[in-house]
Amino acid sequence: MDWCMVQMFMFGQVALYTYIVIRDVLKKSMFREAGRMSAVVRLENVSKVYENIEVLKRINLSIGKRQVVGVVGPNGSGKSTLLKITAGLIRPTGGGIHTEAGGAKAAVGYVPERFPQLRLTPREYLLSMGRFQRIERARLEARIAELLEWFGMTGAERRRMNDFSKGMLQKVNLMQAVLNEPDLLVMDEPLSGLDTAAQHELVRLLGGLKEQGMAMLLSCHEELLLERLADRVVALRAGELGERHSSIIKEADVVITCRFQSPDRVLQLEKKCADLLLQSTGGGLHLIQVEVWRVDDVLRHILELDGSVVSVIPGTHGVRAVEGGMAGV
Amino acid sequence: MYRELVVYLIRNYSRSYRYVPPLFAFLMFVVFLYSYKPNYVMSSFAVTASALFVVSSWICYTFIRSEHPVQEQLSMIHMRSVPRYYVGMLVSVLAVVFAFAVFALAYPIVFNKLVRMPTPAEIVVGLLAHMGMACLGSVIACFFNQRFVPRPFFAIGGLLGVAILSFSQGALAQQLGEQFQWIEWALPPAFQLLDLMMNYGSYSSGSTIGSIVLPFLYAAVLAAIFVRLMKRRLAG
Repeated sequence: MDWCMVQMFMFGQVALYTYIVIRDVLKKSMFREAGRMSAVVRLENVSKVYENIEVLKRINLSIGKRQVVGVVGPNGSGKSTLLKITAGLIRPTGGGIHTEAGGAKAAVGYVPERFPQLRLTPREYLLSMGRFQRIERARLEARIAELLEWFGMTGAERRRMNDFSKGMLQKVNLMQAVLNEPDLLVMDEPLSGLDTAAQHELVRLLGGLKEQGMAMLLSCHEELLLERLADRVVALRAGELGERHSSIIKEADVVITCRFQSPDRVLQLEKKCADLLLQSTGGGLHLIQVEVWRVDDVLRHILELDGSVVSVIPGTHGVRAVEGGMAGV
Repeated sequence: MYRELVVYLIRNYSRSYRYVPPLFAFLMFVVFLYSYKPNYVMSSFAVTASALFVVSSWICYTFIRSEHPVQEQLSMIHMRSVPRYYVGMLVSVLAVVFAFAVFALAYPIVFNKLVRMPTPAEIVVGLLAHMGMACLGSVIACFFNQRFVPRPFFAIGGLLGVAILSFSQGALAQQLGEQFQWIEWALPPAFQLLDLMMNYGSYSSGSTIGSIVLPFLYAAVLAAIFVRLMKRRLAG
């Protein structure tokens, strides 16, 4: 009997040890991944004033590699301004934008809402846009051929774009933006004005770009695009940014549960991680929803503020616990 | 990169057919001018150079409007610079009006419409004077583009007003008296070029060079101001 108990005890020990080892290995690999993934673009306290009207109010937003962030909001909420600032088309009145990819400034592709009907063929047009970026001729030719084939436009490459349908124009619009394989793709209402078939076609193409590892920031009203692509959705209302409810939050997110000795420390953490979803639960516990690439950053902040980490739950398990409206503004 | 931009902008402009009215107006003017005889060399060149001032303003005004505003933004993003884009645009306009200047000089020479064959020096001075006028006309038109003057009625009126003042600045300064002599410097120096060609024989080589260089310098300063203003305006 005693021997049997000893055996059970030893078996329990081995099982516990195995569990701890597996957990540590998983955690380490997750954190290694998080360390590798840094923000492609970081907007810090970005504000924009047009004729005494504050269009954007102290926006903080980070987009990591391979991350797709959707921006939703009513017309006039500042979505296009936010996108144009991120793409470098206009300067913010206050705050800063930092783009980084592999130690250099990140290349940004921009897809405007309405692409004009130019009197050029897609080939002529793409060749010019590529040469503006100093892409070597042979590489450019190959890239254009690849894109035309991938976008199903090989038959139309020598037709002038002034008789193209909206769907075809939007494909050229997308092609010009990804010509030089940018690190970040900024898209303003990419599905606007397209019929359902064209929308599905474009969503499929964008899905392909996401798989290639392109980070994206897009504004849109269509749930289809957000559901299929977005890892995270932020809402803009009257120039203020907040997190939208998390029904579409993906496996890439992590929920950190932590505890602080005083409410002041929670406020300090909120200031440091202004764009994160933070919610207090009973018993002095706080839940933070965070993308995987920011986990180590947030953990460092918690420890700096003398907080203790109770759990780090990957995937969507923790998401239901933090469902709700706007938070973390 | 500039070469590609110039080729692209000219291709885009040529397919917009906005060049057709100024082109035909200039062709008809030159052909009509030389249909009467006698045609003295430098004074005929002075007349076609004045016409080129107006036509180059017209071309520049339509050229700036030829690219769709959204595409303009995309071109700037791909060029990664607003100034580079506008410098390229001005070079493209000058490339187009250069063809007009060559036609204005070649037509009377090839079809023997002048009282005598012009000397090589006269051809060079004539070409530079035409290009000087074209530079002035183009750069002035930049300040009347849609972003600065949204209503075409005011833009065209303003352009014509500046053209008239530029040609009549010598007479204007004389009429207004000593205290308004600065007008001669403030207005585009088209009058100096005209005076050079009308009185070509009486100019020393130094004053000839001075009268030719001045419009180019004036245009360069205005172009720099224009590019800077556009950069500020577009960056919001």
